[in-house]
Amino acid sequence: MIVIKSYKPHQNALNFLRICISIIALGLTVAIVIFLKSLPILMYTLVAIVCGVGFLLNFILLPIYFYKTSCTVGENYVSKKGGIIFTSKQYMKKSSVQYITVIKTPLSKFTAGNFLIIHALGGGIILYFLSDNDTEEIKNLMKKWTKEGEC
Amino acid sequence: MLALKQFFHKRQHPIKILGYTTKSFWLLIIPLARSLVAVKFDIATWLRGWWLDILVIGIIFLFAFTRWAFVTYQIRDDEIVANTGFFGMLRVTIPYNKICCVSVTQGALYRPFKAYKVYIDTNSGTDKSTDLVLAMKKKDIEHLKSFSASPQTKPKFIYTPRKRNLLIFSLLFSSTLSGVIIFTTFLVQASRIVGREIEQRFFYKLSSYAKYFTLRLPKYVVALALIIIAGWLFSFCVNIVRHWSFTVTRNQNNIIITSGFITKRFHQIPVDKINYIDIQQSLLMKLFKICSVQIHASGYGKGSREIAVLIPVTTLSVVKRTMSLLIPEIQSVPIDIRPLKRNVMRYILPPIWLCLGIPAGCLVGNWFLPNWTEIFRFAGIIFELPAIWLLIVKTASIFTTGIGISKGYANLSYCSLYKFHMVLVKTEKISKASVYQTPFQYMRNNISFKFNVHGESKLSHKVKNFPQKVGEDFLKEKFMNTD
Repeated sequence: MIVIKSYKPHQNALNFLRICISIIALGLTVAIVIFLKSLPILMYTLVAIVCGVGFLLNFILLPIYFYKTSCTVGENYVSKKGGIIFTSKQYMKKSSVQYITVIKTPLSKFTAGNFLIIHALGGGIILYFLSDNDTEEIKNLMKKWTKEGEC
Repeated sequence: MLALKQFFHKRQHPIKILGYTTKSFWLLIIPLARSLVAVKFDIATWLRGWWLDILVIGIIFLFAFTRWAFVTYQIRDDEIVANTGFFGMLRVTIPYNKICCVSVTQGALYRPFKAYKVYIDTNSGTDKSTDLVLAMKKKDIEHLKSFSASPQTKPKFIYTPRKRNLLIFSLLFSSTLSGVIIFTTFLVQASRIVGREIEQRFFYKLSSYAKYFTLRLPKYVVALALIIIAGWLFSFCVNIVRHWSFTVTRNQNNIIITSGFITKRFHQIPVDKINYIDIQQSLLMKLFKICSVQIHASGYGKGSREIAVLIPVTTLSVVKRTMSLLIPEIQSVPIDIRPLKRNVMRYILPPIWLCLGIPAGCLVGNWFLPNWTEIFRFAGIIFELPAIWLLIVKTASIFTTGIGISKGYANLSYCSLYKFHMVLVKTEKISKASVYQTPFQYMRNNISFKFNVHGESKLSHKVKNFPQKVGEDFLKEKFMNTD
């Protein structure tokens, strides 16, 4: 199996998600402190839960997810590796690729909010948080494959 | 006259107008007919008293007629084009070479009018809906068949199962749950149309039978048993009526399946559109060396409670012989890799937990609710029996699980719940192969495979617990390196 190139989710996406999670956690903490001032035990418990979940996501789960996820495009296949506790590797042959869907979120250039879905009959592979360049590269390659399939 | 003929030419059979009326239509028409009889066919009185209902029925009919009038279709040389949906706004074009299954059914309502319902399906769309459904006249059906099929040649092979085998098939594939669902739906619909008498009569009968048997058994046990038996019997009857006079014919490039006693069914499946063959067995069927063969082609077996059967039930040797004549294009290949026998616990641990969990749950329940001892004992026995059976099936499955890939064909043998599957598929039809690992498998260096095959659904075939190195190498060598 000849590997053409490997792709990983972009670091910008991780940072963007961390900022979003931190803002949400901070907002929830402020709201809990304001509205549950009269119930201190419940307030402290909920604040601890929110901060704990935020910490877990920001510093453990998301970094592991980004570290473990990768996509490899080979000569005649595309594969995706990922998972945190339950790991998986998905392989799709070049001949199976039917079409692709590219989802670009606003400001995706800075947030790497690009998603690429490779469709096949009876299955598909979703690639998350790709950089603009990687998305274009994979998109062009898949286009070439689907055109070859039509010939 | 010519204009009228032209109008009907491109449209569905007029019986479809009834199909376009609402489901509640019958709720209105039956009381209306009753009232007409009650006033001894005095139309003037009837109109004065029931004008609002008649008006509503008229509007429903007008709406149905408008829908029917806007739906048109054309059977062209290389495709079928139809304008469907409200006001015919949805234009559907299906080239014949993309059709995976053409199903033609004729129910009791359609038969006197010589109308047929046609379902045309392709590999696109969803597994819940059919791409195109039309009510056609006979000459249009013949027209469609002549275009979508290869030039009509003499059948190469015809397989007709014995009636005894059909009975066994219906016996084995009857589901109590589906029977109970059908029966309940029937009861609800019937009570909506003719009032609650039928429902009350059923429950009165059930309670009288329960009273008869309660001399020895608790009442709820008898009621539950009666519901299960009735549901299963109903499902059995539905299956037998559906598959009566079942015949499979192989002609040039198509498999033609006909069946049905009340509703006549005809399915035409191009052989190259068959995604895979699934040879299914239960543990008892394995012991008796019999099996049932099902095929997966988009559109076949899609109807509610329909089974995509190719050979209902017969012995393994007959299946082998018949398959080589019916579909020689898909071959069986030997198993290359199997799970290690020392990993038997990975197969039997979940059912063992289930077997232990049920009595434990009953004991805990009994401790909290001591007055319910009898119910917990009964529930414990009822749920423990299938759990023990599952343990036996899973123990047997370690000897049958495996994957084989060679000469462009794959053999995926696995056990899903109580059923053993042997899936035969061309490797070109496998769209995705996945390797997955749970934390427990990680500790023992094991992996499982998931194979997605061409079709509308994203259903996958899971073959579990292979040594990691062997499994990954096998996938790379046998699957990824072939194209």
